[in-house]
Amino acid sequence: MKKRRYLVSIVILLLALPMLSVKHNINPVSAQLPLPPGVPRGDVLVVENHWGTYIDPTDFNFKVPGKPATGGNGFQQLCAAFLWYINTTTGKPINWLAAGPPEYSDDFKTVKFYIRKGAYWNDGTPFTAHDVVFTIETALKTEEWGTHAFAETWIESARALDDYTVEIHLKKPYPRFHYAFTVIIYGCSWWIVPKHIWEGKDPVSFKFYPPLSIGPYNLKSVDPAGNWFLWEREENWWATKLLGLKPSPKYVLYIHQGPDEKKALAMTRHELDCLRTLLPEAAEMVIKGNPYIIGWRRTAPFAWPYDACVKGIGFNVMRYPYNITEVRRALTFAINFTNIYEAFRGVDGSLPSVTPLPIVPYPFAWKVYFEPLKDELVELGLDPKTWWWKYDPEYAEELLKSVGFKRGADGKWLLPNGEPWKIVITGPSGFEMESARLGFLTAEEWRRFGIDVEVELVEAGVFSARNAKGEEDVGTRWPGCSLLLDLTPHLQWLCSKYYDPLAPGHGWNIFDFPRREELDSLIEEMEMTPTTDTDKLIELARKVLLIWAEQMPNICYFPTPFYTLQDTYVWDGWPTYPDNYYMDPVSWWAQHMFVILKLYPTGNVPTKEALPRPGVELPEEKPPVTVPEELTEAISKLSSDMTDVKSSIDEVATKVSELSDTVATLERKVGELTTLSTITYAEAAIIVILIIGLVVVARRK
Amino acid sequence: MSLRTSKKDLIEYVVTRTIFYIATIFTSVTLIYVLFKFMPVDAVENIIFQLTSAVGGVYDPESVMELRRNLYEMFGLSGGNPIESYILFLQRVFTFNFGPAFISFPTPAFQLVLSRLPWTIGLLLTSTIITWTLGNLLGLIAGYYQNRKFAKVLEAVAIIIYPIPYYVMALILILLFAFLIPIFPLGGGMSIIPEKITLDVILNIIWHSLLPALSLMIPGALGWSFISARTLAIETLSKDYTRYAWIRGLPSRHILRRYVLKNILVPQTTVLALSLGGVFSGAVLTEVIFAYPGVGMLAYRATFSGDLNTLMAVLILSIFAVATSVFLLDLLYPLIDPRIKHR
Repeated sequence: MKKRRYLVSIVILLLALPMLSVKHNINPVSAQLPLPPGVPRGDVLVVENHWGTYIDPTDFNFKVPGKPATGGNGFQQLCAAFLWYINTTTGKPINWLAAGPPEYSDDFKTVKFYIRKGAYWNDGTPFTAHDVVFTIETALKTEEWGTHAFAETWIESARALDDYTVEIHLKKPYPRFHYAFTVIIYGCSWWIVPKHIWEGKDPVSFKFYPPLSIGPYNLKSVDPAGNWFLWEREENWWATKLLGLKPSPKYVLYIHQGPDEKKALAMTRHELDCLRTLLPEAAEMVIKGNPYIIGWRRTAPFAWPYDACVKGIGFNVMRYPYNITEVRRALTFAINFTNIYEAFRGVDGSLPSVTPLPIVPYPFAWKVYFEPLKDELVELGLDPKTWWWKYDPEYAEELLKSVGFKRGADGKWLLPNGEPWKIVITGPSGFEMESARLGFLTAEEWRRFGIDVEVELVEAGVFSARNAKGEEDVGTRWPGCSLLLDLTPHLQWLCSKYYDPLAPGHGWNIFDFPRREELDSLIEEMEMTPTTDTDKLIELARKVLLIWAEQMPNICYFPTPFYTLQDTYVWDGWPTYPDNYYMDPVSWWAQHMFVILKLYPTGNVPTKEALPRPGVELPEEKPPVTVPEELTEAISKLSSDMTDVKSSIDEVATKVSELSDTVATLERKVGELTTLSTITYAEAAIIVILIIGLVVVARRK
Repeated sequence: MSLRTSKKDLIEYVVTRTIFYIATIFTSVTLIYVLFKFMPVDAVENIIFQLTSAVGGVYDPESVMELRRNLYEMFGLSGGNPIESYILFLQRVFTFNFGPAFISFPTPAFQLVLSRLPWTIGLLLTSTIITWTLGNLLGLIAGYYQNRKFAKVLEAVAIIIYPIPYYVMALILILLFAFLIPIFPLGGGMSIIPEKITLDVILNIIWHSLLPALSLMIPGALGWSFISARTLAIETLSKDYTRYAWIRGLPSRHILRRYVLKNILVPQTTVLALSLGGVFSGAVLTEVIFAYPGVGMLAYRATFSGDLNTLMAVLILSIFAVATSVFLLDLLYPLIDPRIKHR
């Protein structure tokens, strides 16, 4: 018996040894990626396709709603035509295909867009005001487009004054009309279509495939199965000529690997350079398994704390007893926030950024909104130490008793009519796992306070329907999203004129309370204040925020931290806080183009056509089109000359790179030989096992 | 006289089965209609939710209100008379015109399903047939030679593997053969630029489907198929007619083939027919885990987005496939087992 056990142990050991050595001999970047033949890993940036499998990967007509996300396949990062972007780190605009900021008439009923001279589509056709006008007119005519509703609501007419000036007449004054054409959070549905391609096509069934790009890359290939999209660098890009910008990676691959575990495996072996986020367990696996990983910071804690939406709990104020302000406030003060905050501490020490208000606490928002409102918020119950509402169960009890609630014999809370009080929190299942987690944590806090609480998780289709139709008492929610310093678009939803009986939501915008009229008029005033009148906008927004805090229609916790991990093994130049904070690590947002433009190869893997470190900074605010044409041409010529000089330098760099490739190839060959010897070793081990087995069998016989 | 009776019986049998077939489809389709009516999903709200949560609060509220109305109109979800909508539903089902897919408007939903079908059939049809054949063969041998060591080892392995859910098996296989010993890709349908269909492309597609297929085949072949075939084989061996065959001194191969295999085939064929029918609905979890672009993945996306048209197309196709398999099986039974008469 002992002998047998001994034999089994030896067999197990023999089996395990070759497996371990095989693992260590795998070249981690011998990736199974869909690349053209002969393309080295060092030429390719691999980005996560966060959307997943595209049902029809050849459909790029994202003007029709209901299609997959434009950020999963790289369309909005590498190809689409946008006029303006907002820099996520400063909240300031970047003029892109627009030459400067828009110009409004005094009554805000006419607006002019100035188009950048010298920009062109990647087939060489100039990008002009006619493309913008065509896009607007098609939206007006096409009910099936997602932008039709906006066009129908606001636009009277649009015309091109010349090739580079668009004049738009609005149906009613709208000082922030151009926000619709700006990439603010994630993307922008008003991307401009190339008139010469779309003209004469059915705007609904036309698939825009392959999409004509105006960005730094062209679509090279798509996976018929819908999981990956490969983009190739445009060598003759307009921004290279005009702004000196040129991306280093020759290819960008957007790929969906599967669930979190598989993304983590891919990133651990350098098959994924950046991704949207991972659950903490999967993030831990990557952080421990890949020493080249960085995140929002260069060193731990890595998580990005400023996702554009604040997560929390929403009360349906159309339902009893959540229509009672004292009840909502009591439920807030019954929460020990430290428990919730600490539950989100990541393995790398990442912590969320707290907000008691429905706006994201970006560093710039902190200075303008949070700190100036501190005293008023403390009066309303803020704990200045945690920067969240104080944990005060006695006060919560007092508030509830003041509106007739009482505790039963078992200490549990009863409604004023004596019935037991049960709260059902609806949360998302299978997506936004952080929100589901917040639901459970909140339930635990309220249970401790003596309320019977149940958490019900539902799938996306049900979750959104229940949220929109107000078919829940309490739900985990996104109480507020923000990115701009001008909070108007983020707060205007609180105004009663936006109540939609088809989708009342939690009914906050028709909730009647003594300061309702004041709130409505403040928002209307904000809407009519030009975006340039920053001081007035800030003052009005602060008043709105204080009314909100007084009523507490939602409980805001924080934007849940996103593990937007970035791998520095193949590429570097990633944005990191605070030293290199030029953009946020938002690979699924359109702004990620500016990150790609700053990347450079690290030299850890062979490259062939990747360019060396780019030296040009991102474009800052440019003056409007007052530059004389001759000067523009001269600058353009100078820039083109500079490009020639740069290309000579590039040639030298390529030669060096080729030399380094040869060395790397030799290294790889040595590696392969080692792997081969390991496989031979594994085979030998199996033969030994078989022989041992045969001997044992023979002996037994 | 007897020939005429037999022919009459056959016609009666076929007619009865056909009526059952139509009734099955009609009932299932009606149930689907009722189910859809009560489903708490809403494609429009899902789209609005995605739009507004993706771009945060930077979406003009007036336009959202207008967009909501447009979408209800565009997707034909504005309500209406339930009887009229039921008739319309039946019309759509029997003409296979399920309307446009909300997740790829205006592409017809059925076209989307057809585009995903080759992937699913390629994966599931092959793995189902291999699983069934291998499982039954091993089960038969293990049952027949039940006292041999290898049969006991096989039984022990099957008992260990049977309770492992196939999606757990999928994750184990990924860890083993896509990470520790990376001989298979992590997932996807293919990782080659398909400029035209070449041998390389075909091999690449097969290479990508091997791991998902294994994740279905291992628990299938060494699970249910094996265990049931083994049990049936042991049971058949204990029957009088098999004992009599032994006593008659018939060769083992003959007994195995003519007495045991033939008798276990009847119930096992039913399982095969149902599994083959089920091929058309895809293997949702496997396809999601392996990011495999089949019908299961489509159904998953459609459910997630509240795209009832696409979901309806998948479900109806599946109903037709399963009902047709059973119908064909009913017709074929008398050929497999002469004991089954046309009654």
